[in-house]
Amino acid sequence: MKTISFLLALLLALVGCTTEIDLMVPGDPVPVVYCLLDPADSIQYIRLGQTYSVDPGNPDLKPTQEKILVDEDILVYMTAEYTDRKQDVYYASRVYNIDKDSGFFPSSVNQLYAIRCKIKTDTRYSLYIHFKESNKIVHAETQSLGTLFYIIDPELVQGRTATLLPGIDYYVRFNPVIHGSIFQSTMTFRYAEIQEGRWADRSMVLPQEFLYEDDTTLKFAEQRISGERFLIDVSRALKPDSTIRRVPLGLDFHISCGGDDLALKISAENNTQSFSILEVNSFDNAFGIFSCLTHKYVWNVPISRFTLDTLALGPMTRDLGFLTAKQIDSMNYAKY
Amino acid sequence: MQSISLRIVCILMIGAIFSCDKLWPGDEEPLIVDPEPKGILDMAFTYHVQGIPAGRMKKVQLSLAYTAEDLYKGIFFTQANVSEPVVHYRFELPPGEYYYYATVICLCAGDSCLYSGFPARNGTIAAGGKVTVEDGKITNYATQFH
Repeated sequence: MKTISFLLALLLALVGCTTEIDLMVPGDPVPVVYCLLDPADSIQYIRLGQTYSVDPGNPDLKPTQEKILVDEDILVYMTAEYTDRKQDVYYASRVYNIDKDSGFFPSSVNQLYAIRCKIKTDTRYSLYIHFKESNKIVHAETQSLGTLFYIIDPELVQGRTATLLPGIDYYVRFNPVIHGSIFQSTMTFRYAEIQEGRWADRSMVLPQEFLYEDDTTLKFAEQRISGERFLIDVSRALKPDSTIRRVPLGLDFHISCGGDDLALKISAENNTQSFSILEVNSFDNAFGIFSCLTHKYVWNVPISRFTLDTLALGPMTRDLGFLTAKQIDSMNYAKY
Repeated sequence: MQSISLRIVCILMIGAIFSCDKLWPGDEEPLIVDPEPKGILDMAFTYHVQGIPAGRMKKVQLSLAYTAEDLYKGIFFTQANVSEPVVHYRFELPPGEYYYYATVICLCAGDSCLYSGFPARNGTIAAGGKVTVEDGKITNYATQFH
């Protein structure tokens, strides 16, 4: 009898050890966390939400605030790990003064936390979110960018102008970054519209493709902005109007560099072979992304006379009312 | 019966002959146009001016003109987007003679620019010259600043 009891106890113990306990029951909301550390900022933000069930009868129905917000006492903190023994801990506090960008989800829903912390280069960061009532911990790790991110081109030099024409492309150049392997440039074409003597500043945003570059031995990485594509985009975006004259003002550039984890996530989402965008996930016990993202800006790059004249007289854009370089000179407008 | 078969064969043959001659839209003989002869001009934009530290001189312009007069008047037909880390700039052009115009700016403080041949601080110096592009060839030139 004793032997049988012992064997039963042993069996129970063995089975007990091998049984995994699911922290999350299928169908339960799963936390969704977005945190992109910016080495150029002294405050880091963590955005929190949770998954919700879509009404099969009405998949376009917007979720309510209650469905998305995490209604639980939580503790958010981040650690910077320098060695096995040395680490700094930063605690987050809830912020209410930043509105959510427009989009599908209600703008009132913005569960945002801020950590006052300057990100150090090439350091391991861990993010923890402790759900106190359900006693659940969400965790992710990432490596910060290993080197500073700086822009080589466009460089503002007196007299230097940007030419974008069929056959003449413009290049945005920057240094390759250790642990930063995804880049994107966005060029904004700024121009003024003159109608009945009234001036109005306008702009046209031209985002470029993602650029994946992890070869840090390169002297520089570059992203090509097609001159022909620029003219096509302008011709498609602007409507001809005989009462409007247009004056190109300049080009602004916004260049972003994302960490390796972000590159992995975006490349998985853009991969048509991938069945689920959730295949690449930074978090334990949550969905989302924890990586780095930093930005650089170059404002007011002058446009060359070749491009001005092509916008005014070229076959693609001549109906749009752009002034020629000579006409702009003669206007002697103080702005230029 | 034999004559009917013969007629059918004749009709089919006529049909076949005409159908072969028929050109449908897109079936026309492709128009072969001789490609415009082109050569490549490879300009190495290099500069070195005594007395100016590295990084205090920047490229400003690299443009091409058709004639020396155009060069003098500043009438150019194309321009490269110059950049400090890029030395070579290529232009695909019909064979012929062209004139290049390159400028650099001095960004030194004080009188360094003046002592090194620039007209002033933030002043520019220019280089220009005649280049020849040959059909189907890459011709290499380098800017000559004096």
